Amino acid sequence: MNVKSSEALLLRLQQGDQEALAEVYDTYAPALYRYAYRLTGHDDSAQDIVAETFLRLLVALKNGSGPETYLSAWLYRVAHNLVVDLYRRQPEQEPVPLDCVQPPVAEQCEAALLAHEEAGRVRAALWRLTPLQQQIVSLRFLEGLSLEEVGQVVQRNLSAVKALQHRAIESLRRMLEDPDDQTTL
Amino acid sequence: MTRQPYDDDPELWADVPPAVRHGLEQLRAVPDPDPVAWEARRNEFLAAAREWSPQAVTSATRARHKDREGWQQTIAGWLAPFTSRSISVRKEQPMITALVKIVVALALLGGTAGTVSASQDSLPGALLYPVKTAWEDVQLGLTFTPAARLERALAMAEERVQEAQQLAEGQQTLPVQVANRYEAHWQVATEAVAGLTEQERIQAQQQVEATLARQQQTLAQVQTQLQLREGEAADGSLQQMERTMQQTRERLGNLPAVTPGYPGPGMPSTFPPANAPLTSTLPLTPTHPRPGPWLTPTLPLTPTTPLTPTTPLTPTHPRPGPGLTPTLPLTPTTPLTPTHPHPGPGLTPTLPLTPTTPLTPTHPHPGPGLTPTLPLTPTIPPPGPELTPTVPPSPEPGAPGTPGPQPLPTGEPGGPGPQPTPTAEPPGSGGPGRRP
Repeated sequence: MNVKSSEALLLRLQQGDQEALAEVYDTYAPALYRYAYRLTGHDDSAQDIVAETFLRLLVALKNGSGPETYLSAWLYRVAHNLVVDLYRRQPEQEPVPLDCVQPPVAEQCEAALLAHEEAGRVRAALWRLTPLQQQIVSLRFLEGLSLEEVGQVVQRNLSAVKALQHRAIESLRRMLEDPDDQTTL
Repeated sequence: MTRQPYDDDPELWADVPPAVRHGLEQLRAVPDPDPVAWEARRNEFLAAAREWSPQAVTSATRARHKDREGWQQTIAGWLAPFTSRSISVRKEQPMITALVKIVVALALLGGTAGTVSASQDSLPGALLYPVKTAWEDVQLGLTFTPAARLERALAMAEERVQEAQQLAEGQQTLPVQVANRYEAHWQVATEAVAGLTEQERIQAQQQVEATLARQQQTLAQVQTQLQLREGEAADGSLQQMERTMQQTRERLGNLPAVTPGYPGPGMPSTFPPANAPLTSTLPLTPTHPRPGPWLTPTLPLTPTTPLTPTTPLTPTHPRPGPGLTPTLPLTPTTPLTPTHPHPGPGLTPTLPLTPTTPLTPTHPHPGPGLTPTLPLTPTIPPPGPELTPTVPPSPEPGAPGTPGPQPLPTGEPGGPGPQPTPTAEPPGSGGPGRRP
């Protein structure tokens, strides 16, 4: 969705257009789901976060305190806060794919399990970053947002985003190359 | 911003070490969500969205938020070129807020008086329009008495209508910002009217009605101009302004009376309220809705025959429910014998009930536009001197099978109508920059 159509959609939302709400959901929910899933690794949790994000959008619109300029940035921000809340309440537990528990298919799942373990290790490293760094890495390298778009979400200017991104990548490198390294920043 | 990620952008990955890139690639794969659960959640959201009634609050509250923060943002925007990084006014940035306050203070001291003055004729979209609205907000913020705030709010509402007219004449669409501010102005005006004394309120409501009528006429002209130009459906912002006028009328019509027996605007309050001796602490439901503040009788209300009770006043209805304590004494002119025991539970007279005035209505029903065609004959006598319940107390008002508070006898001015419950502003939610 380009900037103009996004702005037009936001304007319709602010004017109380019911159809715009459905359009917003269909447009942004899949991306938010991917974002939440990559950080949590859980289908249910990710769906919960998407649902809660949109409910908060409704409440915010009702209160007149919803997004004013960048709708998607606002949604990502709320979703990320919910992910962080969830992680604080319930630190990440990697689910084991159910199919792999069954003996007949266990061998076929070996590669998938290894990939799953590796994903868990990367996710754990990601969670050791500061919330802001984590958000920037996720948005930039997992969601594919531009630096400017990331800046809108985290409400930082371009140079700050670049600096935070650089530090986050360096921390990740240390953690992934040397898993025993407990320093986070 | 919703494009699929992982455009294999070499620039994106240029400075990323291989270990990190390999690691992040492990997180790329995202399974599709369970479609049944996905659809169910979507439907839940849409159901919640349908229950949401945006017209009731959104525009006004949004305007209030903008009124509060918009001018800060505007000034911060002007300052942006002079700062090392872009400024976003948020609660977490007290330095910026302080800076903005200093700038406003300087403006108040006359440093930018010329700019403010020049901005007064600006229209929405113009460079100086934010100065104009910010100045209006500053002025309103410095106005404290209800009467002065009402004047200020009416002037601002008038200004918005003039802007709408000028925009329409200039073949420009009416921005939603104007409608939002217009709604906020009337909200302020309504609150101001509620804070006035009875006499002031009567005059204020007439003034408000005149203003609304005039603005409605102007907006109708604007509507015609816009439709002529666009040849399409009514402008949304204009409709919002018209809704605002309607809502304002309703809100003012529902304002609680300043004193019991208030006969409505434009009506002399010489009629001694027949229910004056009894002040109910419960909301009493009149048999007729309270006259709207806009209804002014066109003919003087004069009883065709003198109103004299023809029969002894005997209560035909039990006294209103529990908790009703007479506050003024009643002295019957003739010995009164209650024909019905007082049924109200918990009603304990603290003073002997003695009517202070003869029970002879000298004025007909004060409802505007209602001219009594029959002599009003009170059928309810004042209560007896001994208010001792002799029947079992009636259940709580509102209980099943129990009528609510008894309506007032016909021909008497309405007591205090049902008090509107102020609706609390719902708490804010996780907005930008806040923890949701």
